[in-house]
Amino acid sequence: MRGSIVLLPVVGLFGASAAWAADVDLTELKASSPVPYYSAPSWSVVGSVAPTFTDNALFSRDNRKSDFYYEPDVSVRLDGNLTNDLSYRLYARAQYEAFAREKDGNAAVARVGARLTENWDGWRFSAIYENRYDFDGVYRDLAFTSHDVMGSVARDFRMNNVTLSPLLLVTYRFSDLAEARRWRFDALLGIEVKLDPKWSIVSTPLFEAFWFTDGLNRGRQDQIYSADLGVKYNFTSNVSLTTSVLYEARTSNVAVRRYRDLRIGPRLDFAF
Amino acid sequence: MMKCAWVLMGVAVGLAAPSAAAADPRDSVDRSQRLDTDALRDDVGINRLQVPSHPLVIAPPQQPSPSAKAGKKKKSSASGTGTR
Repeated sequence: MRGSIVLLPVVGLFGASAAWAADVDLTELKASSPVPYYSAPSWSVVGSVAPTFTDNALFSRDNRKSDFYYEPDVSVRLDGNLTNDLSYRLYARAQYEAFAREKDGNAAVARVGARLTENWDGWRFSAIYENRYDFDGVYRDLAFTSHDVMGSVARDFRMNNVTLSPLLLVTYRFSDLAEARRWRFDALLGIEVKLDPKWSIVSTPLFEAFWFTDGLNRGRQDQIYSADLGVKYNFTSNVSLTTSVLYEARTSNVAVRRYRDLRIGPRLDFAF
Repeated sequence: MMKCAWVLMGVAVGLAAPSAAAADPRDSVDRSQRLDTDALRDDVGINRLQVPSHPLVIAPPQQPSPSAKAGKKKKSSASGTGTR
């Protein structure tokens, strides 16, 4: 109750800024936390903290440098329903990467956004608007600001102890930096195989394609292929630790923008 | 003297080169790209959790029920007659 009262001015502040970001939700309207449309909206704080080793801190094709980096990613969300099938989310999200040695790799982003999700026969169709501020360094220099407009389709398939969560996402980024304007397409498949109530094997194969439209990046086309394999341990239903190995490769029609990357590390996910 | 100037110029160019490289807007875009891809993976991890629900409690405006209103009226009129 007291927390809700504290949150109200924060929500009001974000509302006044007319800038709301969107994150992608694979399991909106999960059975665990249904929000009846006639009830008050609910707020939550969710996030991840991940210390990770990478063998290519600067995404370089030729100048490969390994390093450790620390990446917190925290969101404050407000979820509610407009009808039985139509839900909304308002959120603010902060995320950064801080490298131990390769400081040129440091980056941060602050997002605010809004999302509408229509639940139709198990499929979730979302329209998302996100206003974001990208920084060089950990919130050091503002690099560019953007307005992302997104549409996504997602669903969960549960079979015995296996959950498959496919997601398709299309984004266009409007930005004050010409080089950042682009189309983006994502296709990913969340896979979870429960071994027992505490332990799971998880993986998220992912494909991304980027079509840059302006500035020095005009005509550039990137594709990212990524696969990981991890072991997840549930401390509680809302806190888990996943240790995984990830391989990622980017191809591009700009040869110098190609890279491959191997990452290993634990990630703590939490939802309060 | 001339040699010293060349050394200073070399140092200046050497210092400027890394910052010029870091200022390439395409590098900022690349870093942003990695943050976005990681955010997508974070979303997948978070969505495997059960998110607790904390309903916002917004106090509705106090509107007395009709029966309470009627009672109040009665009471006030009764007290009015009493004072008179």
